[in-house]
Amino acid sequence: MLMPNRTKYRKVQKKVKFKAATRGATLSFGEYGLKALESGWITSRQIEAARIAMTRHVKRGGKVWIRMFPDKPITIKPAETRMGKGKGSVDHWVCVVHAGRIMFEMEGVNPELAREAFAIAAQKLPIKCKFVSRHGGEE
Amino acid sequence: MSNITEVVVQSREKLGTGHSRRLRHAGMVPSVVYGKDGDSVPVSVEPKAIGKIIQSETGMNTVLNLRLAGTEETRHVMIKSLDRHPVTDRLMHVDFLRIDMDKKVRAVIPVELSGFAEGVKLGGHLTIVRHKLEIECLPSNLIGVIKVDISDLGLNSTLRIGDLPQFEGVEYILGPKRTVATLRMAGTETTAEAEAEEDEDEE
Repeated sequence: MLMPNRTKYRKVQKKVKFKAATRGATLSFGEYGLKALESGWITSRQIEAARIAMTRHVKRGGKVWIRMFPDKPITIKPAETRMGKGKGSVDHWVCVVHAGRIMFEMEGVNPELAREAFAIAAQKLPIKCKFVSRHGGEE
Repeated sequence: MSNITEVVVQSREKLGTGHSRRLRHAGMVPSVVYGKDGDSVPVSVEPKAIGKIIQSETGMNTVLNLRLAGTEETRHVMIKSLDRHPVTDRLMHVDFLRIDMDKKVRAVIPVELSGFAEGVKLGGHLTIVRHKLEIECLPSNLIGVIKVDISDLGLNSTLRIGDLPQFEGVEYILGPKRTVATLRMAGTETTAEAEAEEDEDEE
């Protein structure tokens, strides 16, 4: 699963401020992409699940780019613990995705197959997504 | 020159985020005209007119006759850039660039690969290194898309700029040895990446 090798600080604050993406909102590498229509946190497990689902569907053909990286540590306090005594320990990593962000890109497969693969991948994600293609096809 | 599309624009006196937002609510798109020794002029345009141009054969690289509403004065322009909303894909802003019909212009043309390559049938993987190419030509010679048939592209072969179709009066800015697409056996994509890196080093 994706996670940073080394971080400057172990734990970070939430800083929830979602907006429309101003960067990473256009296709850069592949022919097709999966665009976020909502903002949210995507965990490294969800990214991995989506990646596996789409690469299996295209039978390992083509090439897939992941355009997001989970670099935000999320802490959780152990169960049945009283409040206080400091912040909990890091449990998992998430990526802050703003609406409009291209999350995955794909190349080297036919458009129908890419559309199906992204539809399956979108089911693994907690936000609404749409299929985009370089030649204008959207869903 | 009679076949050049005419687009009527309205003058825009009030500027800024708030006024632009109100303009969008009123169904217009804030735009600006600039280039070729003149000052930049803020205008507004109907999104439908721009949509028709983008859908046309020459797409973004169409030469337009821009006419200010209420006047007869026209001006040759090209669409320099389009801003779209990242989520709704709605048109947000248009930049028009004034052009001289006797002077060469530079434009970025999308490359469209068609056909099922022979190498792909044999299990190869097609990597497109350049989705767009910059060209230089007179405005009258502008093309909308560079269509290439890659049916004959075999395994471990490379499509270079020199292999692309040549158009009358159109020059590719990059050299003929630059890579457009590569076809390698699946699992050895590092070769394609290495070639792309090689290209970058040459630059």
